[in-house]
Amino acid sequence: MKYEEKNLENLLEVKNLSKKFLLKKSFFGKPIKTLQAVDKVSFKIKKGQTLGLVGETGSGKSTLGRCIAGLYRPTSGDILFKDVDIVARAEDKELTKKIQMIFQDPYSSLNPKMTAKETIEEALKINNLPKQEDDIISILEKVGLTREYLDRFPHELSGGQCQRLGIARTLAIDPEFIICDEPISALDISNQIKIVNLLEELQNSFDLTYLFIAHDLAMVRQISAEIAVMYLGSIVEKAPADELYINAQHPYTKELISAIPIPDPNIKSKYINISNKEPASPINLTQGCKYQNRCMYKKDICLRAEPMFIEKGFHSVACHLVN
Amino acid sequence: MALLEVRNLSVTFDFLEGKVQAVRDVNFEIEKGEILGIVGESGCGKSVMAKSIMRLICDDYCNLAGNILFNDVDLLTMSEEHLQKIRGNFISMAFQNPLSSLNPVLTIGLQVAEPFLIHTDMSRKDAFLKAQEMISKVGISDPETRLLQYPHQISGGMRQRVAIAMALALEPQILIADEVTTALDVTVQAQIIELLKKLNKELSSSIMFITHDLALLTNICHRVIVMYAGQIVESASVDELYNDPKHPYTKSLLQSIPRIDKKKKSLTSIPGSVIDLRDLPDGCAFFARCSFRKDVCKTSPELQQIGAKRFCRCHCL
Repeated sequence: MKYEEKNLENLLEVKNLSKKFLLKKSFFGKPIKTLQAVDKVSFKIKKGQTLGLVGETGSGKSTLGRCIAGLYRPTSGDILFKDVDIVARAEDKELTKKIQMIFQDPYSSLNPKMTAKETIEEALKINNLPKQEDDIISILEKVGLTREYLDRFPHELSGGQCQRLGIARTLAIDPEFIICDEPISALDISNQIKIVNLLEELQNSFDLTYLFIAHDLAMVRQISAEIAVMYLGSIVEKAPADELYINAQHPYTKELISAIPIPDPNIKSKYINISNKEPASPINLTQGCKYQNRCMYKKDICLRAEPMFIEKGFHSVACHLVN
Repeated sequence: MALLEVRNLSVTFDFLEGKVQAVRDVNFEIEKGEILGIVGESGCGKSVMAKSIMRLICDDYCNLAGNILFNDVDLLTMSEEHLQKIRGNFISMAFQNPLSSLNPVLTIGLQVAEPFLIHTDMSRKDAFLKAQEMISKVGISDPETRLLQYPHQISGGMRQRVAIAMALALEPQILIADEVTTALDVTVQAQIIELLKKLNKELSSSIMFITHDLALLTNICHRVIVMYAGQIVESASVDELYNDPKHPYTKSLLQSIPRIDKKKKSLTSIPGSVIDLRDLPDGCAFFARCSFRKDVCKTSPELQQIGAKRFCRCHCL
């Protein structure tokens, strides 16, 4: 997908979304230890486009995805889907079923005791949709499976086929917005490419919008129109895919991009700031920039104030040294 | 003379449904101080081969044939007692998932000290001091506190460092690294790769680096073996393999990886899926997926030498 400065309507808008998990409370119920998984995140996704969301383990990408899917209730903030607040109307199934999710591990996200047919039937039944066998076959065909797979159990399918079935189950409900939570991480390279190509095909034929969560930046570049980089619960940089790789601004994005191996022995990798420092813990955060303990450019201001991520123009960065 | 020589190694599993030939007639060697990469899709026999070098595969279900010569002694015919002296001491292994390869109820200190306690006459106190030294060597800060912690208390990257510290404790001559970075973030992966390279230089130990990520291999290995359906299909130095791949499988693997520095118009994957090892064809194993196939490919190709230390298994050469 190519990023274009078109006046497409915003399909999804996330405003100041935060999610805290309470780990420990005092005798009187006062929180002592909280984990700030998502911290005041705001972004927009235009209809028919893909936003890639990257970041390391524990950066809150999956929690953000789960908040949007309605699997977690956000602590504060709004999620507007077609200008309707879906946090307040979480019970409205007609609205929320337009947002669906594809999970990371294709084996554990399928019920091992259900055949492909039963898996899709269940999704249809929950949403009161017709469940004729012909409908199910046509759904399977959309993802490149045939009627022979109807009575197969997950253990009789390969990893790539399981993920296809997972996608079929999602498509059965006719969604408009799909959160892909690391859908290719567990697969082999040739299956990864097949799934990515399938997702792109489906996007073009059904006008789908994706939030594509991944940690493989090379693959994210292929599929996304725009990419947002997350670090410890906050978005630190957001830009069109090509722009981000050519002109990364935030020190963390630079570090992340430099760490990706290039399959060419003639190009030597130049790691930027690959230190042995672990990321700070999201439990009881200190003040100032979250990246301060790993940043090699930090100044006094970074210790005092947290840089805010404000979306302006097409390339936005949350860093004191850039803004 | 090579440090480790694998000669005609075959591993066959006996199942009720039939035989699975996981590794078929594999020959290679590792020189001292060399980093050898082994690459292939899942199910191509990389891990089974690595485990059979350490004889970690249960003999009851499988049939190991061939020779694995370590300093001219065959590991496959060696007694279990004798082999135990080699494992960890001369050849050691680090695994993909550090959480499952570390013992959750033992402290990190004890686990890293264990090789010293088992293989040397060191006192408990000295072993712990050595463990502390190993832990700081692999780049973990504050080793005194880490010694007393349990695996669940540290991050994934740190766990993998601990697993590597354990494997390197007795300065083995060969380290088998089986997908050690697959479960890690790219930034942590880069740290582990730098660590392995540093240790390879300092201790001049050989490393057998198993992965499915071709891009990663260029950063670390000297020589690469490409495996498909239990066989070696190509073996070459890193430069030769990337600049001039010979086997159609290597070519399509290299073409399929997305690159961070260049955006491709569209990604092409290898058609079809990895072959079922229970049902191998008579001819070339890559026949069904190959775009250069000819009639001659219905007979099995031999591994041909096509240069100094360069081999390829294809009729179309």
